[in-house]
Amino acid sequence: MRAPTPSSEFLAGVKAELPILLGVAPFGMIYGALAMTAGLPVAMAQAMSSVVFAGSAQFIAVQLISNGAPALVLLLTTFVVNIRHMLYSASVAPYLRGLRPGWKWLLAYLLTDEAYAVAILHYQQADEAHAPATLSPCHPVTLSPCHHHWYLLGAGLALWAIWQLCTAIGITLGAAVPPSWSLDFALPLTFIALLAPVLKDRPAAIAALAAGGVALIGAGWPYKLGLVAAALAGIAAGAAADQRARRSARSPVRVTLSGSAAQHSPQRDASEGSGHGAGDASAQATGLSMTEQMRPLSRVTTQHSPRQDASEGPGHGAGDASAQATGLGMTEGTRPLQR
Amino acid sequence: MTSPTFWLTMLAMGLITYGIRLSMILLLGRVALPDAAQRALRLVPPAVLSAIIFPEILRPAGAWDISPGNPRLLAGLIAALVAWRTKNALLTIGVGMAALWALQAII
Repeated sequence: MRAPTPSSEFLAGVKAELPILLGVAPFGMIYGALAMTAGLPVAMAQAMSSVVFAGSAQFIAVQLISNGAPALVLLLTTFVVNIRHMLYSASVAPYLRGLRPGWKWLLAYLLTDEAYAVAILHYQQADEAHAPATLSPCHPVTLSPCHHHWYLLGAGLALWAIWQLCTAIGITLGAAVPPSWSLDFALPLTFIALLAPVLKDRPAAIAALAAGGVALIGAGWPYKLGLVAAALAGIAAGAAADQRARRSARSPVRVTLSGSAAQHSPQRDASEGSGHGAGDASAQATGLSMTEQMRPLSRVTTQHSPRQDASEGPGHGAGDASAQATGLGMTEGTRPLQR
Repeated sequence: MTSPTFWLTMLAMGLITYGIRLSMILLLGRVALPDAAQRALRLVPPAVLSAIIFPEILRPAGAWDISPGNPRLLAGLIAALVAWRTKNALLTIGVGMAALWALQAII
């Protein structure tokens, strides 16, 4: 694999963001038009897109302003509506650790839903591409330059530019943006497009379902509190599922008869708790005592711990463990993980 | 609200938003999170994206609409299928919008 350079990463980020821009563009235009309807001065409507730079907050703010809401309400609403960005911040923080403060300050400014979603996927894919046993030249622990922050920069700047442009267009067109075109639907479509590649394993799917369910229940709550509750519920549910999968990978209980090993390999990339499968497979294949059996598994797991800031998924570790433990066609098990 | 108050308020909104985005990047920039927390953070993308999508499609503007008469629901499902199959964002958005317009014409 060719080593990434700043410009290759930057361009890749822009390129990945382009389809997302298609979804965000109508949203920006609608915001601009809405701001005009609400009676905001042009300069303020345009400025909000760079000073605040948060779509949903801007939308809600415009409506609040037109209803004559006091400043305090605006500030409180902004805070609650945008609190989900703290999750983005936490999620991306480990990847930005080696960077100079200037980078952190800049990238934080650009951390919108859409830029974050594209970038975090890239970071996670970069993690998975590195075999855990080897330290590639581009590695989070050594903090060698991977230049992935340029990817986030590219995606973020692309989004920023489109947002300013479409705000301006919306302001100019004003009421001429026809609501019958349902252009606002492009944004949920964009998020659907962003969600699909992220549902890689079972904990992710569980997180998505739990979050979706709670979000539906809380859809009527004020200040988008339903969204925050849903996100937290989803994370909790997914983390629990992840824990369960890891625990059964380490538990010495499972001894199943032969045949299941072959069954598990093709399922590796399906949403099975991958650690679970590895535990089974290695148990059958070697016939060692359970504790000896599981030791390679736990050794690999602890090897991974200092590298957890690479945020490897459970399936990754388990795949390697089974490869080591059995030496049988368990390498088949790892193949789906390395893209 | 007077104009200067508007501008100050907007500036404050911006600082709040920026502060939130910067918060963990700065705070966690020096601290290594425990493994369990790291693993939990991996679940932020599916959780938040779902939290945004589900109400938009199934409960637009707060009103439940799970009927087949909801063109957004059907268009959303079609788009989800395309997204799942192709992992192509452009195709997902394009097909989704086309589906919505087609369904709105029919229903």
